[in-house]
Amino acid sequence: MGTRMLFFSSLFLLALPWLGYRYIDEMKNFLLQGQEDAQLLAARAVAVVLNGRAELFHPVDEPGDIAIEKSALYVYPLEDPVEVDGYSGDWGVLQQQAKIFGRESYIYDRTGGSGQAVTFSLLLGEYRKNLYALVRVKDENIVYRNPKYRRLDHSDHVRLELLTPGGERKRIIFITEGQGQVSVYEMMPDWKMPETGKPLYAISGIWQERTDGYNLELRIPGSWVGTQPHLMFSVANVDSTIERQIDSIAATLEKEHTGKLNRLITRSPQLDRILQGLGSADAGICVVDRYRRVRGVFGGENETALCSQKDMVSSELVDIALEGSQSVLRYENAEGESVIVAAQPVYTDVEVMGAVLVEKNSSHILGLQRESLQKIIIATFIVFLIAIAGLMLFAAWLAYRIRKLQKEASLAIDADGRVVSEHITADQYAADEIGQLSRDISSLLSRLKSYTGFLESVPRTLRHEILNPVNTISMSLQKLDANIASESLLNSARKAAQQLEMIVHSLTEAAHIEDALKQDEYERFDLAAMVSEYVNNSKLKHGEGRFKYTGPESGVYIMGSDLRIAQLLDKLKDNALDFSENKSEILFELKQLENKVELSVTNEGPGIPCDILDSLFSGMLSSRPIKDGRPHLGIGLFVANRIALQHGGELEMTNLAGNKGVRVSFTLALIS
Amino acid sequence: MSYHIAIVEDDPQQREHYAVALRANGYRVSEYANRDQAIHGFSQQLPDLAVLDIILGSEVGGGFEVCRELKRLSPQIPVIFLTTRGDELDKIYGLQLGAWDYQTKPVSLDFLVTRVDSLFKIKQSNTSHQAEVRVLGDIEMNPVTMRASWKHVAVELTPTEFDILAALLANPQGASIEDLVKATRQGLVEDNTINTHILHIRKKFKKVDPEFNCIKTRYGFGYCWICQ
Repeated sequence: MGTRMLFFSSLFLLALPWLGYRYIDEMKNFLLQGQEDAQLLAARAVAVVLNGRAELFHPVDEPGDIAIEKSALYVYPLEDPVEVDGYSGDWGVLQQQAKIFGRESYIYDRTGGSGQAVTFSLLLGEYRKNLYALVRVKDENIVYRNPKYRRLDHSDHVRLELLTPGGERKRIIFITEGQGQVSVYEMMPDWKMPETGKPLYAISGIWQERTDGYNLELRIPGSWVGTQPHLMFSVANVDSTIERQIDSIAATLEKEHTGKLNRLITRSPQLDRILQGLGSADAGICVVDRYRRVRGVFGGENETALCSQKDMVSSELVDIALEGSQSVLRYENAEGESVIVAAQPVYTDVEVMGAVLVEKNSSHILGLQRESLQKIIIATFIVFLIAIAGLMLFAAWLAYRIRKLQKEASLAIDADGRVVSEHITADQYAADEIGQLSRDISSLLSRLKSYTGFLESVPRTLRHEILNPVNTISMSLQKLDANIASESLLNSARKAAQQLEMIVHSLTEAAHIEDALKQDEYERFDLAAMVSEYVNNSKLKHGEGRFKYTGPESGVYIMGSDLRIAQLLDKLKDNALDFSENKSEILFELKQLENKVELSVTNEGPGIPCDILDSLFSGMLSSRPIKDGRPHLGIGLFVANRIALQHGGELEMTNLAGNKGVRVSFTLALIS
Repeated sequence: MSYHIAIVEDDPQQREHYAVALRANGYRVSEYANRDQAIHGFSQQLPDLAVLDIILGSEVGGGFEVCRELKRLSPQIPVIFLTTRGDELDKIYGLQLGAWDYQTKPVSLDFLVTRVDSLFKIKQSNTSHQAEVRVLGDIEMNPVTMRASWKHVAVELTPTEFDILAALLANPQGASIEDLVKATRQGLVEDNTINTHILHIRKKFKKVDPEFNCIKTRYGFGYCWICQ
C-alpha cells in the first residue's frame, strides 16, 4: 500500500508544472479573447456615434473623382510649430512621410525627356491653423534669379496655386537671388510677370541649398487656405544661365488634370473632439475614411502604431472593415510587443464611409503570463523540495524500521541455528507491509521452533522405541549363548527385529511423504463411492459392528489421488481403532457443504488433552495407550495431515462433548 | 555347470551372508566391495547374474552405475537390486531393466536364493518348462518361467510383479494388501509399495492392450481381478 501511494503521489507531482502551464496558457487565451471582445465593443461604440455623420469626414464629404481623391495631399497635424528656416530637421519622423514627385509628374518638359530629371518631395503640416510646407527639390544645377530680368521665369522657382476661402484663385511664386528669405509675388495667369510689383509678406519662406539641390520651407496663414483647402505646388527648373529658359515643370497634380487643384486632407477637428470624449487613456482610437486616410486619432504614440504619423493605413483589417465587417488582428509591433487591433465599419445611411480602429497593447497580458509562470515554477520547486524532503524522511523512516527488524531477526537465531526468541517485537502492531513482515517472521520463527523441537524430540522417542526390541534381541542372544536354545526365544528375537524394521520404515515413510506426494497424478474421482466402499471393506476386515458410514453413496467428486486418500483413511482408521473403547463403533461421515465436502472420522473413547491438540499432527508425538506390540511414533497422523494438506485441506481434531470421544475431520473442495 | 553370480555390496558382513547362502546352493560367487572392483572383475569374467546394492559406500547411486556398465557389456545378464527404500523402486523401473528384479533389505536369504533360481529358469524359459500354464480368461500364467501373457501377447513382468498378479488371480474376491505383501515374500513392505507395483502392472498391460481395465482398487482392502 505504501509503495503504491508513493508512486502515485510522485506521478502527481510531475503533472503539477504542466497543469500550471496549461492553466496559465488557457488564462492568457481567455484574457486575450476578452480584450479582443472589449476592443470590438469599444470600436462599435465609436462607430455607432459616427454612423450617419458624413460631415465629420469633411471635407471629403462625398465621393468625387477617384483620381483627384487619390492625389489629395495629406496635412499632418504638428504637435509643435516648426521653425521656418529651410532645414528639415524639426519635421522629425514626419520626413519619412514626405510625398515624392518625380519625372512622371512633369506637366512641362522642354527637353522632351532628355534633360536632367528634377524631382521634389512635399511635406505639409498644420499647427494652429497655419499651414507649413517643406519642399525638397533635387537639382544639381541651381540657377538663381538675376535682377536684370523683369520676367520671373528665368530662374529656378517654386509655384503655388491656391483657392482662397473666398473662391479666388491665386498664383504665387517663390523665387530668390540666393539662400535665405525668398521673394513672394502674386503672378499673372501666364506665370511670367507678377500681378503687381509688390511682394506678398503674408506668406514667408526660406530657401536653403543642399549638396544635391535646395529646400524651401514655407508658412501659409490659415486665412489664405480656409477649411477646405485646395492648392497645387509645382517646381520649375532652369538649367542654363545663358538661355535662362524653363526646362521642366513638375507638379503635385498630373498633367491631365490641368486647371484643377489638389485637395488637402486634414485631420477632422470635430472627429478628434468626439474621439477625445469617447476614448480611454489606455487604448488608441483611429478613424480612417473610405480611402484609408487617417482622419482622426486619439491616444498615445504607442497605442496607435498603426495610424500615427501616417496619412494612410493599409492593412487587411481596414479592408475587411471597409467591406462592412468587423474584425480583430493580433500582431507584433517593432518593439516586439503584442498588439491587438479591432476594426468596425462606419456607415452613412447606405454605405461604408470609413472605419474605426481600436488598438491596444496586450503585452501586459503576456507580462502577466510570464509573471504567473515564474510564480508557478517557484511554487512547483518549493512543492518538489517539500515532497522530496517528505519522501526522504519517509524512506529514512522505512530504512530505520527495516534495520531494526533485521537486527532483531538476526538475533532471533543464534550461531548454531537455534531459535532464541520466537517473537519479534519491532513493528509487531504496524498495519503496513513491514508490520506484516514482522508478524510473518514471528510466525516463521515459532514454526521453526516447533520443528526444531520435533527434531530434538526424535532421538529421545527413538531411543525409547528402539531400546525395547534391542533389549529383547540382546536377552534372546544371551540365552542362546547359554545354549538354552528354544523356539520361543528365536521367535521373540525375530519379532523384535521386525519391530526395529517397522520403526525404520515408518521413519522413512514420514521423511519421504512430501516428495512422494508431489509425484502423484491427480484425477477426478468420486469420494463418496470411495469412502463408502472403504467402510464396507473395513467391515469385512475388522467385523461388521465396528464401522458405520453416513453420507451419500456416490456423486461427490473431487480432484486428487484416490490411493492417497485411502492411505489417509487408513491412518485415521488406525488412530480411531487405537483410541476407541473396546468394540465401540467408529463413524465415517461425509457432508456436502455448498462447494465443499467435509469428511470426518469419530470414535468413542478418551479425549485428547487440550494442550497437545494443536501439535498432534507435527509428528513424533503419541499419547496412545499401548495395546499391541507395535511401536508408536505418532507418525500416522503426521502423514495423514500431509496428504490432507496436499489436497487443499487440513486435519482438525476435536474432543466430543463430555470428553467421550474424538472427531478428526478435514474439508476438501468439490469440483462439478 | 554351475552359474556364476557376482555380488556387489559394500558391507562385508552382509556380503559374506549372501555369498555363503548362494554357494550353499551350488552357485559360484564373486564378491566385490565397490564399483571399481566390480567393473574390473567384469572385465575379467562376466557373471551369469548380478546382485547389486544400490548404495555403495559414499556413492549413493553406485549400484545403478554398475548396472549400466553391465548392461553395456551384456544386455542379457539378469540383475537383482538390493534396496533399503521403497521409493527407490521407481528409479529401478526408470532404468527399464525389463524382467530384472529387486529385493528390499532386510533380505530373506531363503527368498534371495529362490529368486535367483527362478531368474535362471526364466533365462532358459524358451527351451523348456512349457508345462503347468494356468489360463484364466484372456490371461495365461506360467508359474515356472514366471511369464504372463494377455490375449496371447507376452507381458513382461518382473518376478515380484508376477507373484503379486498370481496372488490377485488366486482369489476371485480379490487380495488384501496384506495378502499381496505376503506374496512378494519380502521383509517389510509398505502399503504404498504395493500400490506402486499395481500401478506398474496396469501400465504394462495397457501397453499391450490400451483397453485393459481388469484390476480394480478395493479401498480399505486391497485389489481384485474382475475379468473372470
